[in-house]
Amino acid sequence: MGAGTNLVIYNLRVFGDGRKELLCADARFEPGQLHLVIGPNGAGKTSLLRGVMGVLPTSGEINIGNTAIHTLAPHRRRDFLAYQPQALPRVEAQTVEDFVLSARGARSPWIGGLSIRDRERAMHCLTRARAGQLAQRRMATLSGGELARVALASTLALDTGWLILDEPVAACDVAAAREMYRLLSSLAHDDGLGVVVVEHDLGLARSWADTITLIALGHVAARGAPTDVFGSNAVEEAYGANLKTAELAPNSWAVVAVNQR
Amino acid sequence: MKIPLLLMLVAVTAALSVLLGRDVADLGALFGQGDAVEYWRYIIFELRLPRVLMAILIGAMLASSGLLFQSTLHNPLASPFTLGSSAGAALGAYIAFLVFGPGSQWLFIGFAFGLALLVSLPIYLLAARRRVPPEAVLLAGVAITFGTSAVISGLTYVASEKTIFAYARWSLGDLSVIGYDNILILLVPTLLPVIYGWLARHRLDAMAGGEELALARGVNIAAVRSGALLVVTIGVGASVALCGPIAFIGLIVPHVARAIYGGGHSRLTIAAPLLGAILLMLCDFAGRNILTVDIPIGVMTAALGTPAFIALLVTRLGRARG
Repeated sequence: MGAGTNLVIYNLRVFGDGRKELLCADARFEPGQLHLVIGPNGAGKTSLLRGVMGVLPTSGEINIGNTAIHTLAPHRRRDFLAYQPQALPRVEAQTVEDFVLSARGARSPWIGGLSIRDRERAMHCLTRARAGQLAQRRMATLSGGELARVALASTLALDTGWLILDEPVAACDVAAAREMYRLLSSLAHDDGLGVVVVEHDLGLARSWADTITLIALGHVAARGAPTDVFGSNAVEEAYGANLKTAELAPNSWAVVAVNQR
Repeated sequence: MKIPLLLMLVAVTAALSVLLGRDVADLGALFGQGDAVEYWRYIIFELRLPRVLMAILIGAMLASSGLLFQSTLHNPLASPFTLGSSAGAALGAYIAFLVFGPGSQWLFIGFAFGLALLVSLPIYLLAARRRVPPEAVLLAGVAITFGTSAVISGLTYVASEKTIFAYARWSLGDLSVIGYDNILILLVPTLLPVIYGWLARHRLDAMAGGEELALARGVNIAAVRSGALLVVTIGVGASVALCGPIAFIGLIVPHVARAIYGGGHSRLTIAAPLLGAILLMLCDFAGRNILTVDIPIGVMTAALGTPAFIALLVTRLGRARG
């Protein structure tokens, strides 16, 4: 749907309680790439996503191709952007298949409900997220890594050109996190989706990103290729720490804050 | 428990409520001839059956209403009684008693129903705005409930003894209707919240996960919420107008349904109304048969509902900790 068109954010201001400005940002994301959004706690990463999705009030423009997303009611933006919040609430007794299916249910016709086609799409997305074998498991029995893949499947099930994910690997161990990023990278490069991910782990961001957007103090402090952003001292300034970056193996980076005593 | 089993339980409870009572029906007499047959046909088809049908309709409606409010407002304590629909109908009933005296049925129903809608209007307007958080809608409902009871107290000060008595009797709830006219009147309004709940089941699933997820999945929160408020106000308004306020069913049954069936609304929206029908039939049956005089249905639901609710809270809390 939105594939093949840019997501352009122009002079976007996001407001919290009492019209307090949380963020002011410009950004331009291209489809077919994996875009990582980084920044210290409270800098405004989640506010950016919530503003784009219309959960928080905004001014300024959000465009996908010729579609002015900012003029759409929040529930209609779902046709263009699939948003995955940090923690997905789940019904413990529900099966994985029903959980993924429920993502499509919210926009199913009032009369008629979900069809065979919806079920097929749900299974397809589970398979694409390498979670097909989990279909009949109960949600309560999933590990952190499995849950992350199921959550991704439910987001894919919305059938949009853009994925907007808030810390999708927060509950994953290192191996599951790598697996997830391999998947996200494939969705961007092979399926041509636009993927925007808020990420806490700077090593993962440095390793997997096509572009990095650094947010600090409610502004975009730097954006560009990982080499450029990490090459400048913008990241160290944003985090207020001495960072050491090392490529431990090809395309596998570690970024740590250096102890200062 | 599977849904068909629940459906059978509704049928069995209904059959027993009709056949058993202070006089136990003699099935043989029903198919015979003579005075006994006339007597039993009258008891069963004119007295007990309409009453049981009324209990099924109202019980189902109250349970669905409670479920709709709890799911759309994301609050386990929401019920038709905390959102002012019931209080509005009570105020309308009181004014009708005051102005026209007891007995003028149509005016009475019209006033109770009309004031239920009118009093719910500010809450409806609030619920139809997306940026209004669910707590605000709920608290507005509580405030309106308090406001209307204040008006009722004020009216009591000027009302005649006869009016006060009539209102007091009505406010205890009463399912004893004679004949089927009232059931026909109630049929559509009571089925509205039940049907709406079923049609909205997928949207309710998304809304149960909170505002952010509901929006991300494309649910028009304000529309679903205000639609729920509208159908519940119509259902509760009509039922309160005819049978008086019946508390607790709308609050408790959704919790019971969730304890048995989990959180998925595809099953909840069917199970809750069926459980509501069973529970109200049981309350009515107990009220008719425990003592030699009838206990009003409102008193029965409160008497059975309070300990049931506390027991449910304790066991669910225990499970949540364990």
